[in-house]
Amino acid sequence: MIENIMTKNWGYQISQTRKINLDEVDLTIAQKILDMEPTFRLCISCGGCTATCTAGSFTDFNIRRVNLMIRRGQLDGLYEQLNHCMLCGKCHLVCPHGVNTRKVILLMKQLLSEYESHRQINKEEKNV
Amino acid sequence: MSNKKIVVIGGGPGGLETANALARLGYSVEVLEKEEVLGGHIRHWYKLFPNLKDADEVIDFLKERAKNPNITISMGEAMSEMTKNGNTFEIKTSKGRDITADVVIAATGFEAFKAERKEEFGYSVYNNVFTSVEIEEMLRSKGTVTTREGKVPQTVAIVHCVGSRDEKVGNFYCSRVCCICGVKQAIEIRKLLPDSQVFNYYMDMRMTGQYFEELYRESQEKWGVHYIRGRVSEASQTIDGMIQIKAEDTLLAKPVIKKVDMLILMVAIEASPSTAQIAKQFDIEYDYGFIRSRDRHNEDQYTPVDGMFAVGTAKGPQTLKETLADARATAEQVAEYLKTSSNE
Repeated sequence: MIENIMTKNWGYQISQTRKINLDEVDLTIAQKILDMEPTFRLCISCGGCTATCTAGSFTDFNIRRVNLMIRRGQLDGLYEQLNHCMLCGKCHLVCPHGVNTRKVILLMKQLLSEYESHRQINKEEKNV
Repeated sequence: MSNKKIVVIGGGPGGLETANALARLGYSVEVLEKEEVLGGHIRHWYKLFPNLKDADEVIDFLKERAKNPNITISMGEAMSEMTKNGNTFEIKTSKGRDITADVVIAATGFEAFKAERKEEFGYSVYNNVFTSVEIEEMLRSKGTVTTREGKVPQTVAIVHCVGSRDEKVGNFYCSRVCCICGVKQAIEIRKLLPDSQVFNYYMDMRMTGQYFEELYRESQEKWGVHYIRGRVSEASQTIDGMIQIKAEDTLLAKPVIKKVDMLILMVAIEASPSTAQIAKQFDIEYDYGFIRSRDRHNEDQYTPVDGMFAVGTAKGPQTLKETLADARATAEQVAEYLKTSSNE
């Protein structure tokens, strides 16, 4: 009887928090990019880059948002987004603060691919 | 009171009010004004933020005060060269006159950013791209706002930070007055053209002065002005002659495009050529060609050059209100300078 109640699906579950806990996020990749390309510090999120981005007009790629996600440690799914970038550099041309966005993207791709492969390995290990 | 020669370079609000205040303290002053009229940029302005007072009210006030026996105004005469010789300044004017001055007040002001330099906004390429200065002039001369073809605009977009906070044109600084000027012009357009829609494209709305925030609020509450947080990346002309602009609505994280009848560029405040000339020649450049004061807080009316003072936008972006207060402070500091030590 009790078992019955326990296994019954009541249609409720514990909601996952949407909050980003800034005390717990991993900012190693963000810090690496900030060190390797210091102009990354200068972004004021004006969105000029995204406005001019061809990839951003047709896909969910949003370079301003990607930059911010990295700096808040929200890395999942970013690598796939970065694949939409064609490295045309228009974002770099319009940036009022001179952020070398192209270089930032290349660094992100490099660092995130390492992150993604580690994630993959971890997953596989757990499965074994 | 003093037989010292005081020369004010520039007959805009800063220069005029410095001369006015000095004259009232009993000093004789000569004002050099390169144009044939007094008032500087403000004489092109229509109404002033934040209370939409007629700009003429201020000019008339300043000119009326300048009718003083202690003030000599040399109109149509510019400073072409200035050197320091011992304790005095040798000024050559555009009329070939040589003036020896004991005290010089640089009221050489600013120049509006040349919008052509931001090619991507299409100024002087597309017909209906205007600068904020042109809108003031249009309001002043016509009392309304129209496209270059004389049509009443339905949609207007205002682009903030044109030439300000922009490394691509070499200006890192904020011009400080354009945010509120954009709010003011949006209200003016909405008042005159109730059927119009006005959109402000901004990176940050900086309501730094008293009553600025209230005007911003009024623009939303009473006049339905729209605000989009995103920097415009480019403008282009459509086949029907409208201007299409691209931006990211950063708060939605989506690119947005919009067609408008008029695009208004909030142009930056840059150092005028005379300001930059003095700053460079006397090696007292703050940055971007503006003149550096001796100390930001304690001696902001003095320059590092003994006997030379600077007032208003010659030192960097200022509102008219700040410039007038600065002018009165400068007069007081000049008087103090002449009274202390062996200057008098």
